[in-house]
Amino acid sequence: MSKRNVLKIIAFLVGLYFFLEYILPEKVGGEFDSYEVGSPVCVEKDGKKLQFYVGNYYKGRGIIGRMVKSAGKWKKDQKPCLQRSLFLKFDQYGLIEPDVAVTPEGLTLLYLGQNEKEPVLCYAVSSDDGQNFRKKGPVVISTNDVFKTFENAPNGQIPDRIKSFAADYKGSSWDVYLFTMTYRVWHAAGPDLKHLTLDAQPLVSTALLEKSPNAFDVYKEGDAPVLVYVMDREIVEFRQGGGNWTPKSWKAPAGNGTNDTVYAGGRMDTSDGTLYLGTKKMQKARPIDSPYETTLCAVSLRDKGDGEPLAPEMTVYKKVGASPRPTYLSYGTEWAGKFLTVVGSFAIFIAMINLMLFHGKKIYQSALNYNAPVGEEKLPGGGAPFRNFLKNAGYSAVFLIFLAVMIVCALKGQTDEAKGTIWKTSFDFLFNAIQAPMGSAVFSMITFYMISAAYRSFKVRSLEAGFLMAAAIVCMVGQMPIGELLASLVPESWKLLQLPWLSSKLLSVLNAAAYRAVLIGTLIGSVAISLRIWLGLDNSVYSSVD
Amino acid sequence: MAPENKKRSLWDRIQFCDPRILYALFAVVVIGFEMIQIKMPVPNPIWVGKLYDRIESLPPDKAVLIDCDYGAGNRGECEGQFKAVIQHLFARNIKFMVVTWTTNVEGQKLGRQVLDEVAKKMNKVDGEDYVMFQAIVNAGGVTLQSLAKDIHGFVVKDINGRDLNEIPMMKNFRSIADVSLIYRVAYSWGGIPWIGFVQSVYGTPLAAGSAGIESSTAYPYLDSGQLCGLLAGAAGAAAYEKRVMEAGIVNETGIGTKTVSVQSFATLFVVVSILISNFAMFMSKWQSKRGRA
Repeated sequence: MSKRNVLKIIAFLVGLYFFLEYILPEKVGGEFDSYEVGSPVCVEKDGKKLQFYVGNYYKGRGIIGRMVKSAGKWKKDQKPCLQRSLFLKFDQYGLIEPDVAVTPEGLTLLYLGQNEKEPVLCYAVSSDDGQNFRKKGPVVISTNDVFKTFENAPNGQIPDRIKSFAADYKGSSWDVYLFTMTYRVWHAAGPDLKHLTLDAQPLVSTALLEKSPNAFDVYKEGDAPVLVYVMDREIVEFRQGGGNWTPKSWKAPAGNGTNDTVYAGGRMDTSDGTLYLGTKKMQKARPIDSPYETTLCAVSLRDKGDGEPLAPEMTVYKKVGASPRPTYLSYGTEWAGKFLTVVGSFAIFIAMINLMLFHGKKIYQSALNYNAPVGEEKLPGGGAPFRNFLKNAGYSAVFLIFLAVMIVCALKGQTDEAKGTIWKTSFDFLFNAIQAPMGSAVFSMITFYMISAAYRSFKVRSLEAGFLMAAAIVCMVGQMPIGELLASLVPESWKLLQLPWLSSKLLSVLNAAAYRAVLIGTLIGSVAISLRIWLGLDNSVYSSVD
Repeated sequence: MAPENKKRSLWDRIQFCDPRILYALFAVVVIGFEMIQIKMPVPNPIWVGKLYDRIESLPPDKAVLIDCDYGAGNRGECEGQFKAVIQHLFARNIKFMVVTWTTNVEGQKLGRQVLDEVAKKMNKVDGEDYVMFQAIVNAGGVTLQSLAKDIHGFVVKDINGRDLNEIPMMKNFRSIADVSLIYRVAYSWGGIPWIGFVQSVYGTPLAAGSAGIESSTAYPYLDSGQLCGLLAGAAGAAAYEKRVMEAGIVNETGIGTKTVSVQSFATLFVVVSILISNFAMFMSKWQSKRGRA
């Protein structure tokens, strides 16, 4: 195999590696919930307590993990039980707000699919064993004659956006409660999740609390629903009576730190009592060895009778400060970042050496009189006359002297301890009195040339040039205070004559549209070139090989 | 080209005047208005207000990451943008980290001078209220990606040579999850790598400050929401300084306001000279047509 083909294969594998790293962060190795955990829900099936929660590998990539309680302790599964879709758009960005119910099919898990570009949709999956779930599809809510179900709105045209929901399965019937962005609660019921019917009116039509709850749940007392709103450190239950919803609240169990915030999640009745599950966000005292935001889950035990919490049973399944383990692939990104930094540092170093060699050679050659004109008087020892040296290598000498001085002064004078020393003073002087003014001077001189060029060349010789000049003048003057001054002379209603307004419209509408078109074209070209290089179709990059 | 063989008319002489006259006039305008300092109304671009409001609503437990990449050549426009924003952050007690690059040492040096000056005036402490990292080798998007994932693993030391783990404020800021805003101030806003590798991946809001001439390329990103604010040129700096002053954070205007006043008259000079040149061209053409007739 030729060197060229070996390089092509390596380039392809490296490209594939980073492509996979982008699309499959939680699939290959590592912890799927290293960034954050939240929204726990619990269920009891065949005497076994199961807890499901959302684990994030990083921000906004929620997938469902599972814990099982055995011998009094919650034990976490190493792998997630339900992952986001790679190719189906509804939950491509992750899964949030799960709820779970025991059904004749086994376990049914409902969740909200997340995709920033799509509406939030409620989906359901089922499993026989509570571990391996089959993707089932959207929960279909036939609202009524007015609101129909569409392909793009499989949940039905619910008259609001869903924020959270709670589902309950009892006596071969489903009750789904949808908490919406406007704090309303809608109820839908039906024999299965494909045939739910939404009530004509919302169950709760006004906001019961001023703030949106962190979690929302519903349980039934007989046939009457009890709405559970979980706020920061507070759980509020609402019961309906006489047409009103009456609140009853109590404090959520506090954690160890006084600044912790408890975000409770699901609620369930078990043979031991009622469980409230939650997460606790540490706001302070985050240990230094934890590079990610971590939360822990707390479980509080509530007495069945009076509704007041007993001493909370805190079950930590995510240790605060535990170093998360990145995926095998993300090791590669970290490594590549460091590698490129090292390569970049070497590039600067090599450039410096190259410059030193180039100018050093020039000085050396001048000193040996290589460039001295024929017949020119030579200095004793064979050196060139000083003026020849200056002519041929003067700039090189100045460059090397200043390079050496700046390096030494920068190395010795950059730290705080160096304040007041000759190194620091020299470095500051060289920078403030030479480098910065020279930089400004060079930049300023460009302005003079620009004025000269504009004066001589910016002529209206065609209609297009006229438009260009009009746009340039409007943009230049419109963004300056002089534009504001001129605009103040024009009545407020005559927007078209106000240069700042006109200038902002030119920039944000016409300019943005045109530039976007240029960008899209350029980027399509870049993608094509990248693909050609990645797939080994472009031989130009390997031209020096073989 | 100027007609060579016959005597040039007045309009031709105006049209093709010696550039040194233009240079001299321009220098007089700039130096004159720099000395006179006429107070002008400061523009109020919508994107400046958006950045101000964004900083007003930032949570106090998260930090702001500032990419300071301006140089001596564009100091007049960018320094005001940098200074006004850090004054606002200091006033709101929001901690921030300043990133600079080895490819532009001026950014580090000039940024540090401004930082030290503002921090001293507002009684803020290096390492507790702000930190400036050692210049980072810029290797494109992967650098930003690594920085976003693990700041401590990637940067290691601050500009004073202190280990990041020893800096008190850095104990709470470890990755992009702890950053509530990225603000890049540079001659060319050039935030496409920030958008591609950080903003679109982690959703961290990005704002920019750039020279006026370069700001036009940022508008598509403002419109799409990928940029949450923009300070364009000295006018943007002046508008932000005005807001900071109105909020009572500082009691005097900054370099942006001073620059924009002079820049305004310099711009007017450019516009007038272009119009004169064009008028001279039309008159010259008209004269030659009349002569032929």
